[in-house]
Amino acid sequence: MTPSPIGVPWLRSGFRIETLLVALVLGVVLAWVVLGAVLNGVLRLLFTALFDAASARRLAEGVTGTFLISLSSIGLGTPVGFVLAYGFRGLQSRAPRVLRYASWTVLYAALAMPAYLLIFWMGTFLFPRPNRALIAIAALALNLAVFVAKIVYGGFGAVPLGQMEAARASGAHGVKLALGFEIPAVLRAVRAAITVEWATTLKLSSLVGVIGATDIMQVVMEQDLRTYHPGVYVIVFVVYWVLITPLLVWSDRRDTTQ
Amino acid sequence: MTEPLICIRGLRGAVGTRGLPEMTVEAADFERGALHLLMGGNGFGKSTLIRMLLGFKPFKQGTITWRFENLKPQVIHGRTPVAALTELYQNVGYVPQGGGDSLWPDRTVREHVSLPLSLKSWKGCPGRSLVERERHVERILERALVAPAFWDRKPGSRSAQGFGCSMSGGERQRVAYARAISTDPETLVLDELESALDETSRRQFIDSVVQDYLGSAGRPKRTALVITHDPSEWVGLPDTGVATVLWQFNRSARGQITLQRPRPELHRFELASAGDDGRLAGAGYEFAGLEFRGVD
Repeated sequence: MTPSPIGVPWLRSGFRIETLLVALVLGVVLAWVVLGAVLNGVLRLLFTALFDAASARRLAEGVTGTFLISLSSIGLGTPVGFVLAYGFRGLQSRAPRVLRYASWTVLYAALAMPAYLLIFWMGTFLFPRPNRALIAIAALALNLAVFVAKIVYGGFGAVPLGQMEAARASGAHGVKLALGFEIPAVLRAVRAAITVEWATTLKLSSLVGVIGATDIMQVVMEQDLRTYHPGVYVIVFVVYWVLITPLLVWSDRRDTTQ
Repeated sequence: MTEPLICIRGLRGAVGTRGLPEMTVEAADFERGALHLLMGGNGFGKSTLIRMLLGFKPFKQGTITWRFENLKPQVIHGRTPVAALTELYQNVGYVPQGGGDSLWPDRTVREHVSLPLSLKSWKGCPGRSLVERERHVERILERALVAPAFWDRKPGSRSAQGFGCSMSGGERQRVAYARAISTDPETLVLDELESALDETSRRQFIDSVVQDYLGSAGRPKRTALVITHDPSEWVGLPDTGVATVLWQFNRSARGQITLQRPRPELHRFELASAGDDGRLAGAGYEFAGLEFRGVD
C-alpha cells in the first residue's frame, strides 16, 4: 500500500477523506441527539421532584439546549480557531498582500464585533429563517473561533524554537510535525487562555439559551421599527471596531518586533 | 580529492534580528571526516551560521551546498523553505543551543531516542522488531552517558521560575545528544554541547563524543560541526586520528562579521614556567595563535 498524498500514515490510498468527514458529521449529530435525549430525560426527572410538570419540562429543555449549544460551539469554534490561526500565520509570510489584508480584516472584524451583534447578523444574513439553535451555535462558534485564533497565533510565538528545530532535524515534517510537535507545544502555551474562552462561551450561551436568539432578534427588530434606523447597528459595530482594532494592531506589532 | 561535505559560497545574512550586524562568508569548505570547531565571541553569529546551514534561518545571498554520500547535492538558497530539506535532515543529527531546553516535555527519554528511528528512513538498525529497536535505544542512551534512572522519565517543561523540570540541565543535554546520534547520522551539528556539564563529566562526555562518534574505526567517516567557547576541551584529547579544523568568527570595527579558517596546524608545547604552587603547570597546545594550557 502506498501512503496517501497528504502524508497521514493511517490514511491509505483508496481511502476517501470525504468518507471520513461524512462519518464524522453523522457521528457528531448522533452523539448530539443521544446526549440531548439522555440529559433532557435525567433533568426532567430531577426537576419534576422540585417543580410542577410543565415547569420541569421547560427547565429541562432550556438547560439541555444551553448545554448542547455551548458544547457544539466549543467543539466547532476551537478547531476552526486553530485553522484560522494557521491560515493567518501562513498568510503573513507567503500570500499576496490583498489576501493577507482580507484575512486580517475578517479576523479583526469578528474580534471587534460584540456577541449580540454577531447573533443578530447571523440571524439576518446567514439563517434568514431563524433557527434558534443554528444561529446560536454559528454565532458563538465564530465568536470563540476568532478569539482562539488570536490566542493560538500568539501561542505559535511561544513555542520553543529549539524544540521545533530538533523535531525537524529528527525527521518530522508536514502533518507529523504539526500534530506531533507543534500543536502540542502551542496547546501547552495557550491551554489556560483557551479554557477561559471556553468558560466565556458557556456564559455567553445564556444570551441564547436563557434570553434566546429569536427573542433578541424580535426585540431588535421591534426597536428598529420604533426608534432607530437599522443603520444604527452598523454604526455600533464601527464604533467598536475603531476602539478595538488599534489595540489588536498594537499587540501584533509588539509580537513581531520582540 | 574528495569533495567537501559543505560548501558555502557568497553567503550574506543578518545575525539575529533587524539592526544587528551582517555576516559575510565568501567561501568556506567543511571537509568530511573532520571535527570542525567554530569559535568566536558572543553575538558573532556562530549559532546563526549553524541555523543557516540547516535551513532554519533565511539569508540574503549566496548558497550552501551539502554533499552527502549516495545522495544528490542539497542546495540551500536564502529563501529555501525548510519543508524542502527533509532529505538533509535524514543525514544530520542536531543539538541546538541550550540543547536541554529542546527536549519535548511530553515524551520520555526513551521516546526521544526512538522517535527519530521511526521518523527518519533509517536503515542502520540490525532488525525491525520492537525488542531489537529497544536494545538499540538502550545502547544509544548508554553511549550518551544518560543515567538509567532517567530512561523512562519525561523531561518536563521549564517554567520561568525554574519549576516543572524533572531532570538536571546536564542530563537533559545528554538526552539531546542521544537523540541526535540515534540514527548514526553522517554529520553531527552541536551548538555548545558542553555548556550545561560540570568540569569532570564534560571531559568524559566530550571524550566519548570524539572517540565514540568520530573515532570509530571500520565505518564511513563521520563529520562534526561543533560550536564551542573552549576548544581546549576538544583538541586536547588523546590522538584518535580525527582531523581537527578550527574556524574563527571575527568582527571588524564596523561590525561586519566574517568567518576565517586559521592555519590548520596544531602545535603541542611544554610549559617552561612553574605555577603559583611551584609545580609545572603541564603541557598545552598552540592553535592559530591561541594557547590552550594544561590540557594534558
